[in-house]
Amino acid sequence: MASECNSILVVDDNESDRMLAQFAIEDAGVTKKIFFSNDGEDALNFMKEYDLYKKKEGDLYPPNVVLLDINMPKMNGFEFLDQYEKLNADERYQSLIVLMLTSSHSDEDKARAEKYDAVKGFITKPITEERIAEIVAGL
Amino acid sequence: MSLTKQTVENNLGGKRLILWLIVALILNAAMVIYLYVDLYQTNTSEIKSRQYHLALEDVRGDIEYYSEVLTMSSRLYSFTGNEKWKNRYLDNANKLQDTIARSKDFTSNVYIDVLAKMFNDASDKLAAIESKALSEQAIGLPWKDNILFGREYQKQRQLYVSGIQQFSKSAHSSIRLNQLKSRIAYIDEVLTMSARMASFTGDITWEERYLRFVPLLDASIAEALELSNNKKLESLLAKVSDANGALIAIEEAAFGLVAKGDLPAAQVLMFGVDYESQKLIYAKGMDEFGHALSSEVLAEIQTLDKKTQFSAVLILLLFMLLMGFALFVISRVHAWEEKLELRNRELKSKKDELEIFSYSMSHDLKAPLKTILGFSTRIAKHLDRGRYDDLSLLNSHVHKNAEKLDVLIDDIMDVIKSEKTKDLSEEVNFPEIEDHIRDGVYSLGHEHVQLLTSFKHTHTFYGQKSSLKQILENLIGNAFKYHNPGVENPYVSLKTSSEPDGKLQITVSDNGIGIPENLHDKVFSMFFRADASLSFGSGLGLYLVKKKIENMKGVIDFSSSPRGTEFIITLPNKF
Repeated sequence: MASECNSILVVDDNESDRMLAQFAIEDAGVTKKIFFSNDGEDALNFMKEYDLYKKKEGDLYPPNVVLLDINMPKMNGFEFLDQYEKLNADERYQSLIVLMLTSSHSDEDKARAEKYDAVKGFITKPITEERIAEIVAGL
Repeated sequence: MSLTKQTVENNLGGKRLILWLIVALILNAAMVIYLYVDLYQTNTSEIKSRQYHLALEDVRGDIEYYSEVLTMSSRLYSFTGNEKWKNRYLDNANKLQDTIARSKDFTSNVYIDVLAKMFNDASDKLAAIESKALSEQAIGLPWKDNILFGREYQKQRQLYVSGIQQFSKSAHSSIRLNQLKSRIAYIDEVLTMSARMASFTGDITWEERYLRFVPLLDASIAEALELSNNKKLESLLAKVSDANGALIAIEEAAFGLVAKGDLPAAQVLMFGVDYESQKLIYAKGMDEFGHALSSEVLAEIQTLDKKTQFSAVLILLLFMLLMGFALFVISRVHAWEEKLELRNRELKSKKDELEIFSYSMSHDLKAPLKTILGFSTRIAKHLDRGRYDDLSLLNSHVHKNAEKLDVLIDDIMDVIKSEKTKDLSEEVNFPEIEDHIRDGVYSLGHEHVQLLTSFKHTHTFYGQKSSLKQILENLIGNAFKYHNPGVENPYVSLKTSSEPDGKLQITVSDNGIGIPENLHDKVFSMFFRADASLSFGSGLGLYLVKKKIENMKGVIDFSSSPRGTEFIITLPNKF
């Protein structure tokens, strides 16, 4: 009944938030596979190693939805998007959807996020299964 | 925002002030130069004008006098045949020539040029008649037949005299005195010669001329006395005036004799020893008066010259004083501007810090709250669905995030406090701090990491004890947290030493995993966290460390590599 997507990548430095996202996605029933990254750098490395994960994860890889937290150490959400845009064409994914996650709503952050082609949504935490289902249905 | 804008404007104000000052200075300099040039020109032209008028008057007076002498000497010679008069005539004729030659110096003035031409003409014609009278041996001729009394001669003399008297009175007293001197000499010659002429010719009309000139002489002497501003000139004039009185008495007596027809007796009076001796006294007095006058005029000119120089020096001094003052003001403004610039930068960095602080505060304070909120919703759902197995896990996350929030609020309060309060300086006991830190770090585990200490500072350190405790707690706590599990003997070392000037140096070093190079410039930033998987803090720790050290007027620096990190703190003692 619910729409499905390949897989979803959750990028958040807070372990608790990652867990909340996992619950929400599972309850929404929109995907069979969830990947996790601690920060932007981690996520970028994950995306770059296409061949490695393709072999391991099969058709579930690459993920076509990324839930991206903004405020993270090492490499934050915006830095990740900058780096992602700099990747070679073959390293980038077709029709990738990025949903930005933030604890407190900021118009400046939202405006900044909308400048990236891949960003399709701006969500204030906590994330709910209804919101996930709604977004995946719109794909 | 508004603070920064204001200081920028203040800064521009300083630049504008300097600009205005420079403009004012240039205007001032222009004014001073104008004043200087104007004064110099005025005084120089005044000196030149006085010198010019003085020289002009000398020439004019001489010409007037010599011409009278020439007329009268030639007439006397023609009456008496006495060579003395011929010699006087020739002598004065030469002097007149010289003087006329001198008058050519004044040809720059057109008016004077025309006049000079006029007496040159008349002078030539008079000289021609006079030399004719002298050479023709017209001696003893009745005066009415003498060409020296002829109509042509009289006409040329009129022309000549009127030309010479065209010169206007000088307004300047010393030049006017000089004019009067010539006038007195001339009138005196006229008086003497009129009386002598009468004694030879018996023509009483000479007395008319005589009587016309006597009041002129009196008036000239009176005017000269009035203008004389010193005792010497006055006494000389009095002497001249006395001799003059004596001469007039003799001349009047001679006129009396002429009126009675006793010409020989009149001649005896007019050429007698008495008359000649009074003439001598008079001539000597006039001569001395002339000398005194010219030295006075010279002195006046010198004074004026000195005044000019003095004023010039004064103006220059004033100018230099102004320049000095302006330079002083400029340097002060410059210093003030630099101070302002520094303050501006400080304010700007404070402002930036504040902006980061408020942004991160709202974000970082809300983050754990939102997480707690998410878990409470999640717990409610699981309760609804009867999923009790993971309730304890969900609750542990609520607890963890609440604790995180608690720590964060404590740290934020610490930041706010560090801006406001200043602890008193007190003696710092390092072993005591070491015990405190040991208790803290080992209560969190990490028993395999060694804490090595070495306190070698020679000067007892006085500082903010509680701040220093927090600083070391933080640095050492971080070093324990980021120790390298891969090395055989992980350690953290705390060392102290004294610098020659009494400053305290504290070194905290470790052989941990180090700080990645790309993060070196963010280490002391607000809400900096190196690695989410290892760090559970607020991200305010190192920011607070730096803040507290700066509050104590100290500095902190660090170096780091994958083989370890070293922080070096330098603190002034008893600050």
